[in-house]
Amino acid sequence: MVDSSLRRSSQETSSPYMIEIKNLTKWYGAIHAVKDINFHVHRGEVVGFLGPNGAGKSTTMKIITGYMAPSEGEVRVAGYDVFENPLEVKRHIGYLPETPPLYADMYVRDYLSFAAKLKGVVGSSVCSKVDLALEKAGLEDVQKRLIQNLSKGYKQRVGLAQALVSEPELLILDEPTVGLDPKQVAEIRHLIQRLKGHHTIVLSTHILPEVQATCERIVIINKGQIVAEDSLEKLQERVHGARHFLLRVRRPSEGFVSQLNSVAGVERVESLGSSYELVTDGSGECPSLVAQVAIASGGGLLELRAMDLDLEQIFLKLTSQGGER
Amino acid sequence: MIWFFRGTFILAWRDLKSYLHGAGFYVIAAFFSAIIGWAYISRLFDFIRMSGQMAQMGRSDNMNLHSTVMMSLMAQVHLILFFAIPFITMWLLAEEKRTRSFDLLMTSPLSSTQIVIAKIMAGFGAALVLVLISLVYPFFTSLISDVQWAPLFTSYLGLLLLMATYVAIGVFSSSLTQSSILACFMAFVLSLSLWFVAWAGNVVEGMTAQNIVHHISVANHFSQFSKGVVETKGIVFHLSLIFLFGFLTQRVIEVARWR
Repeated sequence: MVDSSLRRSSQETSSPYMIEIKNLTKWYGAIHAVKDINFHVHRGEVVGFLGPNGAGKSTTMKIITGYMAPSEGEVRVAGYDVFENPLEVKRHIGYLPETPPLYADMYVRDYLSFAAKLKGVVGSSVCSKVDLALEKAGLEDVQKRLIQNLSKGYKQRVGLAQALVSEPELLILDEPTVGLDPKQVAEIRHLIQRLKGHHTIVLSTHILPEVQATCERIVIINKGQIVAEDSLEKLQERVHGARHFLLRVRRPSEGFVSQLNSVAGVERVESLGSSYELVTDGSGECPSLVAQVAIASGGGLLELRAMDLDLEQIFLKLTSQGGER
Repeated sequence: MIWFFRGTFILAWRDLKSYLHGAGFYVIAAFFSAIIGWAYISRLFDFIRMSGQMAQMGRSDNMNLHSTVMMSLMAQVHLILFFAIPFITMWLLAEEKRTRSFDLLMTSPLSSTQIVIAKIMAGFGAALVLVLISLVYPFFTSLISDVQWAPLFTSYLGLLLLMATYVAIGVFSSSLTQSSILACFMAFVLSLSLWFVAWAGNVVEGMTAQNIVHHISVANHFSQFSKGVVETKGIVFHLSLIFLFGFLTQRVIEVARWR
C-alpha cells in the first residue's frame, strides 16, 4: 500500500502535465473520428474543448477517461498511460458524460456514496466527501429524493456531484450545460468557476459563451483535427491580424471617410451608417490620430473602441478555414 | 487484491439492493411462493393419503418422503426459477447500458472482470432469496415428520449450481443488448438449449455419442444431486459453464472499448 503510493507520487511529479496526448487517432470502422491529435494540459488548468457537433470532442474525452481505447497514439493522465494502466488513470478522473450516468431508482445521497466507494473512497471519509459534493453542487435540499423524480437541471447537477465526489485531480465534463434552461446554465457555470484552482478541468461544449466564461485555454476541434489551441485573447489577436476599431460620431461631415483613410496606419474604413469600422496595422499611435481627426472634423466624437471578435466569429472563421493551424 | 473484492462487492451490493427496492422482484417472489406453496401442499396431502392407504395394506415401508414430496418440490422450484431467472437477470447490464449508468462503471477503477463477477453475484443473490423461501416447506414438514436432510441438502446444492448457471447465461444475454426484453428472451432460449442437449441423449446413437451427451446433460447432473449423490464432475460441469458465460460476458464488455 505504502509502496504503491510512493511509486504514484514519484511518477506524478515526473510529469508537469495532467494530460499528454500524442498522435491520437480513432477510427469507428471506416469513419476517421479523431485524426492525429496532439495536445497537453497543465496541472490546474481549465481547458475548453470546442467544436461543432460530431467534431470528435466526446470521442477524445472518452479516450482520456479510459472508457474507450485509441486506434493509435498515446494518452497519459497524471503520468500514467491510459492504455497500460487504466485503473490508475480512472482513480484520478471524475467524468461527467453527455448523459449523466444515474441510477433512477436510487436516492441522491445513496447514489453519491455509491459513486464515492466505487472510486475507492473508504470508511468514514465517504460520508464527509458526499456532504462536500452535495454542498458544492447545491444538492443538500434534494439529497433524500429519488433521482428519477428530479428535474433535468438537478439530474445534471447530480451527475456533476458524482464526478466531484472522490475529489479527483482531473475533471472531464462533456457538455455540462446541454439541455438546461438559462438559469441552470448560469448555475453550472458558476459552479465550474468555483471549482477552478481545485481541479484540472477539461470541458467540452459547442456553446461558445460557456468557454468564454470559464476557460483559460481553448482547443478548437473540427472534423477530428485541432484547428486552433490558445488563450482567448491570443486567438482573437490571431484571427484579427490587424486591430479593428469601432468609431462613432454624431454628425459625420462630408469626406470624413477619406479623411480617416488618410490617417497613418489606417488600412481600410467601412461605413456602417453613423459609425465606422477601421482596420489598422495595429500601431500604437493610430487610435489617437484617428481621435484627433474625428474631433477636428467637428462631427462630435461619441465612441472609439477596439472591436474584439467574439468567440463565435473566431470559431466560424477557424472552422470554415478547415485544417489550417 | 483487496480492492478487487471490495469493488466487486460494492457493485454487487448495489444491484442486489436495487432488486430489493423494486416492485418487480416482489411480484416474482409472490408468484413463486404462491405456486410453490400450492404445489407442495397438494403433493404433501397426496403423500399422506397414499401412505395411509399403503399402511392399511401393510406396505408403508415403500413410501419415501424425499423421493415423492421433496424431489417434486425441487422440480417445481427449478421449473419456476428457470422462467424467473431470465426476468431477474435481464436488467443487469442491458438496463445499465440503456440508461447510460454503465458509463459510470466503465470510468470507475473497476476491471471488466469485476463487473461481470458483481453482476453474477447480484443475480445469484436475488435467485438465492427465492430458493431460501422454498426452504420454508421442508422446515415446517420437519416439525410433523422426519425429513431426510442429507439428500435434501445435496438437492439444494445441485439446484444452486443450476441457478448460478442460469444467472451466468442471463448476465451474458443482458450484456449483448440494450433491450431488457430481448435479453430475457435470449437468456430463456439459451437456458432451454441446455435442456435440449439433455433430451438429445434419448435420440443419439452409439456409445461415444451417448456418453458425451450424458456428461454435458444438466438433467443427468441434477438427478444425481437430487438422489443425494455429489459428483465432482457435476460440480466441475456447472462451474465451467458459469466460467464460460462469465468469460464471454467479460469479452463483450471489453469489445465495447474497441469499437
